[in-house]
Amino acid sequence: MPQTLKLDEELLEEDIGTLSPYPSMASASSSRASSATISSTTVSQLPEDLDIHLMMHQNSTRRQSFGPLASPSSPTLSLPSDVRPKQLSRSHTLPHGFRNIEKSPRKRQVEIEKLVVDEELVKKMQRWMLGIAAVQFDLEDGPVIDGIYPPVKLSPAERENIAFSAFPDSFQFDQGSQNHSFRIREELKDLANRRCPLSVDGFIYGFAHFTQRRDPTSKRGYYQSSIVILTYHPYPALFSALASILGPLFQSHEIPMLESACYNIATWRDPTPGETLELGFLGTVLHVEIPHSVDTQQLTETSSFNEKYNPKRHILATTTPFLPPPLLLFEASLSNLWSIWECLVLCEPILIFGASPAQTSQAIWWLRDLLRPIPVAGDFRPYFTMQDGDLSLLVNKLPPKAGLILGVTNPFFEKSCAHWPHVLSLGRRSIPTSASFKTPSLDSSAGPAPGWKTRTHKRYISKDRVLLKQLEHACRGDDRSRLMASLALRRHFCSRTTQLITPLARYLNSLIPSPTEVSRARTSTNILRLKPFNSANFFASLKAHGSTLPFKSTGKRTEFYERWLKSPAFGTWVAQQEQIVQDVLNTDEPLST
Amino acid sequence: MEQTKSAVVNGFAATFSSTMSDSASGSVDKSVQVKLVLLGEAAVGKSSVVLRFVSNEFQPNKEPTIGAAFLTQKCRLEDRILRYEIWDTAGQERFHSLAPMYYRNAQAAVVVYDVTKASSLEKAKSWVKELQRQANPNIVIALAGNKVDLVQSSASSSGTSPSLDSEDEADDATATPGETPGSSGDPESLRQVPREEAQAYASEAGLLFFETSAKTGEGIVDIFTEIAKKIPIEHILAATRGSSGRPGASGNRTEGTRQQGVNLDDNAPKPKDACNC
Repeated sequence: MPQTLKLDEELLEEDIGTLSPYPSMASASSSRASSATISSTTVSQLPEDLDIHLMMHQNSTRRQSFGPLASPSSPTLSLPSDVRPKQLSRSHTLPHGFRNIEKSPRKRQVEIEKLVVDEELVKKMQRWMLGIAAVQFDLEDGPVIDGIYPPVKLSPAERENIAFSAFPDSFQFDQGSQNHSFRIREELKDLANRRCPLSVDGFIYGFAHFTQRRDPTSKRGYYQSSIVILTYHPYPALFSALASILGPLFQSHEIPMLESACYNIATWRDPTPGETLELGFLGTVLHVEIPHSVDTQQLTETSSFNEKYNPKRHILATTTPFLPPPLLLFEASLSNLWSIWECLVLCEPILIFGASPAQTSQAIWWLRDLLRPIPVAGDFRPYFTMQDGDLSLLVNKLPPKAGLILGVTNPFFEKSCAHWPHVLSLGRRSIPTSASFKTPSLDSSAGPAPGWKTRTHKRYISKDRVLLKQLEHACRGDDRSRLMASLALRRHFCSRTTQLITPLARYLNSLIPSPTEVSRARTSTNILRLKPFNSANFFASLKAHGSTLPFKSTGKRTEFYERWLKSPAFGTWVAQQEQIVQDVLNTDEPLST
Repeated sequence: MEQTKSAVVNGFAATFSSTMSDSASGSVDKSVQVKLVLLGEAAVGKSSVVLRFVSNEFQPNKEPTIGAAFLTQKCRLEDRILRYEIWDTAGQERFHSLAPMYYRNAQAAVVVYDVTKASSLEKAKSWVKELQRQANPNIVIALAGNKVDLVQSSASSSGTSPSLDSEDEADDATATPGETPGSSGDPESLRQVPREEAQAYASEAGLLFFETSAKTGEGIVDIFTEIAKKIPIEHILAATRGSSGRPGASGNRTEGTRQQGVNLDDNAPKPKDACNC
């Protein structure tokens, strides 16, 4: 860690301005830190007087610090093993009497509690989100939620999980801000006492904007604060945009800004599937396409914005934020992207390391997006911390669960996930310092070196070498070409996923009852459904009609589909198709043939 | 009373297409987007002015705005279609510091005061000053003295339909500031801001000027029509073509919001041009 660098605050500010080219809309990591280039800029501007040792020392007053990178949320890296109590509570991790019960509530906490809560308005706000949490790093308590507006009922474990997930768990930068997101399991213990409306998938999504600045009045030397939009809607592009607009404004205007944001949201129309909406938010107008379902591909070519899709002005709600260009995340693994996609669709568990939660969350939403139209069969966590209540469930000595995609930044996971079959480390490989790229020491995470490592996977389909060349070229180009290449890459894999499904869809079509069968059945009380799926028949159909996926050989093709039919993704997909067909067949509408 | 109202309603219908369905849809058609901000002291009737303009409605005792409300209204001016993106800001002091994010990159502002409250004109003047110092240099500013219905006797307002653009229509203006007669039955006695005084200030400061009543509708449409005439539409279109290479949405809006999510301070460096993708 260089300690002789000069901090130029003005440069940093400018940095923020130029590096967030979105019209106020989100970059996955607003200011820096998510992409290699961005972080390397940061490095070059590290302050002369940045006292890492001091920070470490302060961290260690509460918990043991780990390695050279002191962390804002001081992860409990001193844990003896990877087996932990399932519901870890802060009270168990801190020394007895650590928390000062007499402590007076923080100012912000009091102010948020004083805000007017109009039931009608709250209902309107909660069509879109549960609430917005202000999280602060308290010197004594660590990350704590100061308040949530509108108020949300959360269990103590959920509150703690949100508080920890709101902060990066490794050192990011001296001063700056970044966006990231997380997904935590909702506790379903007391359903009766539940906040409404209920979640769709049992998870709460958090979209955070984290800010850190030097504060000489703080013993820690830094002021660290996050604003987190909590929602049941898995719309990363939309909510990251909102967080990146609100975050910086909240830092300068506090509570009135929080109120203003919520009241804006209250006036929005319903988040109706399939609609394209114009949403006014804190002086900015967002154009947002809500998909028909979470498994609908939102393609840039078919977007509904009345004009050509423009990533700087239009938001496809379910995509990952496109700025900074996601291509940069995969710079060290470009030629492996086809393997990564195969692992993704085959529900292989993947551990994703990033230098920052901004990187991991952008990458995981990106992968989740490429899975469409196949439904998610496993769990995915855009940013997973060691304080998560599911730690022992997801990270233990057993083989990782099928379809699990875990985004982590804490080097602890390198050891505890050493038995995982696939590890993707984001960013670029270290390259010799040149004029434009400084040594990316903060850029490379403390975990494994950037790149893709697999123990088991052997690729079935061919790479698209033309595209690969373009990607490699774009990485060396400017932001615009990186963005365009990112969109091209997305298009490529979206169509790969569609191609994967095509032979199955073709075969399923043959299982739909014929019109005569339908009319015969309608006179009786039988429920119409798809005829049973028969693997042998499917493979016969596959052999007869082939696939547009460029398999390396027909043998590989058969192997691939054999594996896919055994994966949970196939199960969820086929169940969904059966439901759709059944719904259509059993309506009273005449069938059009 | 009724007559005035319907006259205004007709004028409204002629000029402004109903956009209830448009107002929230994300469609950005070939219309020119105009960002407009309303500013002014609390309780002068900003939200009522907007509500009259957008829905042709009036609600007495509206609850105070929190932050700012966002509404849209389409408006045809000769062969051009303008689409106002209206930010109706909160007048309460605790929200004052939030105003820059609403007026940043606005092409138009309506600064509202209450003709029955002298201090509200002072507040309006300070908003104008702030806009002239910090907002878009080409911003079109209109000054609106609202609640004029309170100072009109019912006879005068229902008799001749007021022609708002006419200079000599002015009220009798017998009441001078500071000289508030006691409990006379004359509604004009409620007036604390003489039309001439506000008019003179507006001319001096280069503002459009109207006296309005959100309650009766008087003067409301006129504000937005006159603003539409004064907006440098060609300039906006040129900027759009220049920055995005695509007609329809405003390039300058893109320009502005880009820096907005990042830094509210005005000394933030200007970001570089957006890439054309």
